[in-house]
Amino acid sequence: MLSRISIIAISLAIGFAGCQTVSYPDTQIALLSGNVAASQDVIADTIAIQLDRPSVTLSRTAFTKSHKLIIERASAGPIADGRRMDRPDHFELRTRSGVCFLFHEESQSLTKLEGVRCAIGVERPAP
Amino acid sequence: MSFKLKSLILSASTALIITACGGGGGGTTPTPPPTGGGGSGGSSAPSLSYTPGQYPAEATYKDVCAAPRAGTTDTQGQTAHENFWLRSWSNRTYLWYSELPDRDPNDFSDRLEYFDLLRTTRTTSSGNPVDQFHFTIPTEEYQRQVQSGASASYGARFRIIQPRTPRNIRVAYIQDGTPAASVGMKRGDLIIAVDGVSVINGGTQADVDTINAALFPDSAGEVHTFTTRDENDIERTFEITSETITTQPVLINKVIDGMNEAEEPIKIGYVLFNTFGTSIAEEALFDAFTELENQNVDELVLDLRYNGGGFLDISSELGFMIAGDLNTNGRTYERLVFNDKFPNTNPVTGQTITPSPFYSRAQGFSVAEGTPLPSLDLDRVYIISDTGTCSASESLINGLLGIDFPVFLIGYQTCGKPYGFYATDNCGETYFTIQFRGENDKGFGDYADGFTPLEVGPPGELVEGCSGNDNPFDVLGDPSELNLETALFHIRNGVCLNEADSVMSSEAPAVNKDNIGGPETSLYSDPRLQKRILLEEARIANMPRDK
Repeated sequence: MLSRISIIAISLAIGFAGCQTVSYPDTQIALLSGNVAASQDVIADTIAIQLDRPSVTLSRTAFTKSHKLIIERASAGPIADGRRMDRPDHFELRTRSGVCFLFHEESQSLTKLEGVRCAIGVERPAP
Repeated sequence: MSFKLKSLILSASTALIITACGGGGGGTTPTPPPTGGGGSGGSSAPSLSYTPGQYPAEATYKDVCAAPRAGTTDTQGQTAHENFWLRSWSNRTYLWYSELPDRDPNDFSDRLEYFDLLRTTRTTSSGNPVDQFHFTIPTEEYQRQVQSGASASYGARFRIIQPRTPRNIRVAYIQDGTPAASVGMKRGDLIIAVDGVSVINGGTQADVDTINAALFPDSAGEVHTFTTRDENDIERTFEITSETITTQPVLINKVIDGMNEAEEPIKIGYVLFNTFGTSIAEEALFDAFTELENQNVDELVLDLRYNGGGFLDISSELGFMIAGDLNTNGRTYERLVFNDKFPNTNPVTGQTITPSPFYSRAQGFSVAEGTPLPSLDLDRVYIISDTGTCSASESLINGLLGIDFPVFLIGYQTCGKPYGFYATDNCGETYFTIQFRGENDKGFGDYADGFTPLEVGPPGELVEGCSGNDNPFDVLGDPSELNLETALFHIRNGVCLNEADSVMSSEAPAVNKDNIGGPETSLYSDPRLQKRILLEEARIANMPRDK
């Protein structure tokens, strides 16, 4: 079994490689393929870390019909949150050479996604 | 190590690395390591000396706790330290700080009891407390509630018409393609029982817990058993499974052929818009109003009966989409007003207070920022309202009235929440105290009793319009639905539909504040339950009625 340290070390190497070669314009919009639920779990964890939140819940259709995803703080009810002035976070699923990336619009950061399968996306209209 | 955990670590580290490369600028701000956490002490606690009328800086007492939380910035103190923080914080930021009693924080061993005192006792002209929105929630619980981008539900909205036994809870509407639609739930269905408990008569706390758990599932995949009775008195029992569902803000958008007072054919838009509380509301409204604009509608009936508010900026955009540039250009949609210590600066954010305009371009919630918004350029709007019409929905009404744009209310009195607050954490409790109100272009913002159609009469700020009723079996969006029929009648005849008067609701509204703090037998008579209701709106906060 890999130790946590070695996993991090491997990911650091992957990260540096990605950093050196991939930027937003190099990527194309993507949609999830394969085991969508498992990929959504990984993406939810990634977003939670990026936004410094305990966890994030995604819609079951996240990144299956659109390459865009909006994450917002869930409402605690109309009294507590009926007058909201915060703004949501926007993400895009991107791909290059079969590798999937998560782009966070507000921070302009591109994060490589491990264990996520995606394909160049064609937006599907809502049912 | 699980696959998920491995992935988490990989994702985390790659995210940090790529962000650290600085390719795009910005990046997420790393959370600083906690310092002095867990009540490790090391510094002396601040003074507990109380001098009436003198308020030490609240920062002195921030995070000094009777029970410090491990892994946080909390330090060891006493309950009195927390009370001192509440006292100074309230004195600085509470909208009506000058009306607060000044009680010695050392005299209270319960921080929540002390917080309860830190509110005005003034009442509105109708006798209701001015401050009905003073509550707390454990921080851990609040954080749990604010973490997700989608929520678990059945895709049905339940309308709690009578929260007391015998309860009356019905389906208000359902979204297509959801579990509720799949099992055949319909608007108007009466909920008879859930998971073997009578929804109508269940009187124990255990019953209430069961009902809440079934009506408002915490997570996807929960299976509950419902028994319902439909319009034809047919009862049926079925299982339903919760799913993670994205709310559909605009449930109906249609054009109705109608007549004006000159008996000329006109096109009347009808939009059932149920929440400002999700980013996709911006896109949904953009699409709906683009369609209405393309069809050159002459009038609009905007149905906000179930709209409890949400993002104020989207509400501002909606004002523009209704009234157009000619009516809104250069005008104020809403200006936040804090207490008189802060006439120009937001005491919480430190930013200069600037009035919000009627936005004519998308603000980037779900439509690309800067995209010109469609506009109907109308001369007036009909808004269907009820006690569920709250907060940002009321801001829309107030914003339009502030620029003398004619608003006709159809239905019933709105909820009455012109106030707002910033949720503030201290020592594991998140406090909500009123810190600002929204004022329109005329400087008006005191509508704590809500807005009321003129025909309904006081209390509330009276607005031109007619009484109506949310009949449970009327089909939303159908011209024969009573509220919509009343609006169409007024458009054609310039007067209210008399028939609407005779069928005014005899049913108690779901979250009418009149029900809160009512008679002792009221289920809402417990103050702690009141807070819960205020926070979560639709849950049944219950105690046995006669015990």
